[in-house]
Amino acid sequence: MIHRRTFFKTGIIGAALLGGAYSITSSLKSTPHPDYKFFDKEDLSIMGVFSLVILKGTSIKEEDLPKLLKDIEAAIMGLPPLVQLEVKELMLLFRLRPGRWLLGRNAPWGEASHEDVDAMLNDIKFHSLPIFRGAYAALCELVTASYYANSNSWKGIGYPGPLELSE
Amino acid sequence: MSFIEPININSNQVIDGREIVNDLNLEFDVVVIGSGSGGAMAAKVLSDRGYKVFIAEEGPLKLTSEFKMRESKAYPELYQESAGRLTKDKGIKILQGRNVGGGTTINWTTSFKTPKRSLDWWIDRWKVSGCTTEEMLPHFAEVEKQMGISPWELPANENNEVLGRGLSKLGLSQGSISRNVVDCQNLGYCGMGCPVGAKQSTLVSLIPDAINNGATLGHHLRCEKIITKKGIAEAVVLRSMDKTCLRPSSVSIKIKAKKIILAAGAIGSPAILLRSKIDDPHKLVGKRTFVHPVCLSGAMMSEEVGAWQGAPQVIYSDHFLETRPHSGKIGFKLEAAPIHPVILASVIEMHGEKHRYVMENYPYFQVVIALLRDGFHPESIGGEVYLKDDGTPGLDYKITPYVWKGIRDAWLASAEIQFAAGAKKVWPIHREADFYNTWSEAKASINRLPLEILKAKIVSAHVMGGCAMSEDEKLGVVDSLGKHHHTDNLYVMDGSIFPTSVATNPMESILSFALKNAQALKI
Repeated sequence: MIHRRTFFKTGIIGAALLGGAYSITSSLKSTPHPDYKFFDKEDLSIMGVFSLVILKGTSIKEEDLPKLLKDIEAAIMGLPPLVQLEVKELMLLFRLRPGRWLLGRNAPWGEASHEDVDAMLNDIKFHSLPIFRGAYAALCELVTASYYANSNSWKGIGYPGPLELSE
Repeated sequence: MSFIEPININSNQVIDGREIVNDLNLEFDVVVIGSGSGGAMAAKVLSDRGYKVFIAEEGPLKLTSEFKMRESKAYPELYQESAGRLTKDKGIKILQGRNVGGGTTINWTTSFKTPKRSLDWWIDRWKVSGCTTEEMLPHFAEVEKQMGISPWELPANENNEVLGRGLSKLGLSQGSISRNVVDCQNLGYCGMGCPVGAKQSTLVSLIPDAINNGATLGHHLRCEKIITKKGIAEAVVLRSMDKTCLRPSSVSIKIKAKKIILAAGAIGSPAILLRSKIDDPHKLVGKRTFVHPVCLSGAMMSEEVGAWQGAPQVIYSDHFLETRPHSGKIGFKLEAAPIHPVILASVIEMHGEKHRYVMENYPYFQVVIALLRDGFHPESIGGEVYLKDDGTPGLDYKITPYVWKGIRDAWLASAEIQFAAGAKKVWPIHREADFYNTWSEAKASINRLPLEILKAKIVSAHVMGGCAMSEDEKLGVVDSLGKHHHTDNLYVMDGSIFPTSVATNPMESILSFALKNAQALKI
């Protein structure tokens, strides 16, 4: 049996998976969650746990997630249609079985422990394939940019926010 | 304080593309695509001369009163792709404006004349005429007058002072940056649209001037293509955009004009030529597109820096440009960069503990950036603009080993400067780098960092080239006055005409060449 690490090194499967995701996207029947335009239930559970790990050590709490996920979705909706499709493909990497297998996991990522998510993020952060490193960049940017766009996060980093201008 | 908006959105000279519900056919003397430095200057000059001008802008019209110094608002509204535009391999993040005013609405006001070495190079190697320093000086002077470009008189903020101190300690040359501001309040939010109208972006200067001259401004209007007949450009087809400026509607606006001027930026203008299938016998369009690849070095200082406040860029060093001939190692310009939370979090690309460490120390964080001079060496050929499946443009830019070596040199130079300025720790912004405690530790480690995209953080705020000017049609898409070599009545007047990168922040160069070429245009 070929070890998944072998696939990582060849780079073929990873590239094929992501490259072929366009067609998978079109065949994937995914209805957005009633409160969202982009994310469905599984996306939300994945992005929820990823967000908590990415932002570990900040003031983020589980109860902050609904607002953060809404903000992440709003950021995605502000991207051009083709880039939105790439984000869909990114989600497929974590949702579909081949993608999970490449990342060493059988069970859904939405149910993963923080330790497992942290290990996976460290794996793709330094991965030999740029496509995985790009996935890391996209995840970190979507989550952290949405978090710091919200003024509630500023106190925790010592940012006073913009000055109030007098009329 | 109150600012009188110079554009009246209720004027019948200001058209919101979203409100157009039926196809339109219009006729003007000149249609200008884009409202940034190049387009606004062309529109101003030609409307001054009495021509009937239409300015088409893909992005929204946002007024000074709408600028709230909030990243959450500014990036989606004022930047291409919400400030998240990436090169094809995702290796470089590109910051570009997309609004009435283009890059001038959101740049950091840094103003430099075109360096003599770049002008001489273009004349010598790229067969450009009429642009010696002596020939350009009157244009620079006129631009500086019109745009309020003048030396910055107030003290530098600490973010810039760190750079200046380090340069002084090491005996490296430095200079003060001129800025295009009038009555600047030193807020530090230039990148989100100046909320007091102090920055003399084209939004508050050249565009209102052109409208006062009788020009018409249309926003939420993307140029789909140029229509030509027997080698003559006759009209443009615009599409009205939705409120996000991301999706075109089926409504088209056809504008017939005697002259068509492309000024959609160095990704947008080549893309329009490609979409329009404009004659390109030497396959030059979109090639040799340059970005001044920028690498970053973060420093943790003992005292608070507060890099979000104060004029963003006021000190620079050209030491590593001036001491490096074009034939040698790639040169780079050193500047400080303003830091706001969203942009910092996006740039550091970290999760967990390291992310927490940087963000918790945000007030003490200082950043030096190096802008690499791409395009002057055979091993720095730039990137290529291409069309995606939906016709929107992308940029394929591969960083060559020659450029990577310069990036390593720039991390080394920046780190040494930051330690000399008193940094406690320095971190070249690279996923495999750490916060180093000493210059010797940093030097040894930087020399071992792998030179790979999506490990090293590389960004760009300056896209140039892709429609190079040259008197030789085998070298350039347009001539020295911006006229297309193979299509009559078609001109390019933006940063895409530069045969290489400018080797400095390009706004004043784009304005000055557009001024010169619009004045020379015969209708």
